[in-house]
Amino acid sequence: MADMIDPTDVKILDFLYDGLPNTLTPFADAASVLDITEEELVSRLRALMDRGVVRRIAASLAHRKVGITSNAVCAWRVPADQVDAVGKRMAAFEEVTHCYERETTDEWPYNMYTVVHGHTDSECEEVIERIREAVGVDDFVIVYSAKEFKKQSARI
Amino acid sequence: MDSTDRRILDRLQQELPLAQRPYRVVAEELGLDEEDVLCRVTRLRDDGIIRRMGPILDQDALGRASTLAVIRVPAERVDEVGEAVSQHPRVTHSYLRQGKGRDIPYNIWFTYTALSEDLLTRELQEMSEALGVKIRSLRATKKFKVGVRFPILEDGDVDG
Repeated sequence: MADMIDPTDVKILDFLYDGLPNTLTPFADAASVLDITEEELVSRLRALMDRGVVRRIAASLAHRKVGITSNAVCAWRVPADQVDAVGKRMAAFEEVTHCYERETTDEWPYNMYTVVHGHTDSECEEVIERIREAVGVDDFVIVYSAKEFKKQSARI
Repeated sequence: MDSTDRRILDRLQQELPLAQRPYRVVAEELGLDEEDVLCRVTRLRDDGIIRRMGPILDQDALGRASTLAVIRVPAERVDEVGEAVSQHPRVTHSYLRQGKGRDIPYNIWFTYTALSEDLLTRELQEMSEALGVKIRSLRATKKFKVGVRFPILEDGDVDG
């Protein structure tokens, strides 16, 4: 993917890993530190978003600090021929933040994963119950987080 | 944190406008004062509620290889292994997890991003050996949704 990102893009993304300057004009101020024009910075960021390298420019929240302390991964066993339809339906739920099909193991046959965040375990469970009704899959396991060791954004 | 903070957070977790004065754009949308928005954002960043404000990368688009990895660790080693896993710079999230009302085979779950497929395999193998545990990699075969919007708005938070 060498053509997707050049050295200046890397320099920008590396610098911005620690966050945009906390000012009224963050892009102008970042550009100044990076020794490029604001126009070039904005144009490059826009291009990176168009190419999908940058998903969005936004605030990443410490969800536990805003009361979203419950985080349920629900692992579902979905027949292979239903995966596409079920995945699409699950992803349509606003409360579902991630929905993936994954590999299984010999002792773990669950192939679809939905991540639901909420204030409480029962809030998450209520969402999972609605998903279950919507997709008609009864073989699933709710996997809660008992302890968070680490949560950080991926670097460039 | 009050209702106005939550409205700002909900807006900013979706997107910071790519504009010369992004907080003016947000302020106009929410019916607030630009300086007040920056003041609140400053406090929220200082308090660590906004843990980061910047470009969010798509590792797949960068050609990286990532996975959800799981381990079955004996109870007495859980903290030690959990800490060791989270020390690794390529581990982004790591949790001690348990099944609701039933036992599940794996208790430490973590996400790992490597620079390539080969490195992913090799690095997980090295971690396995260093920790003396078996790490299983549950690669994503299809992605239906990748995006995080936490439900922080509460009943009564006025929507602009």
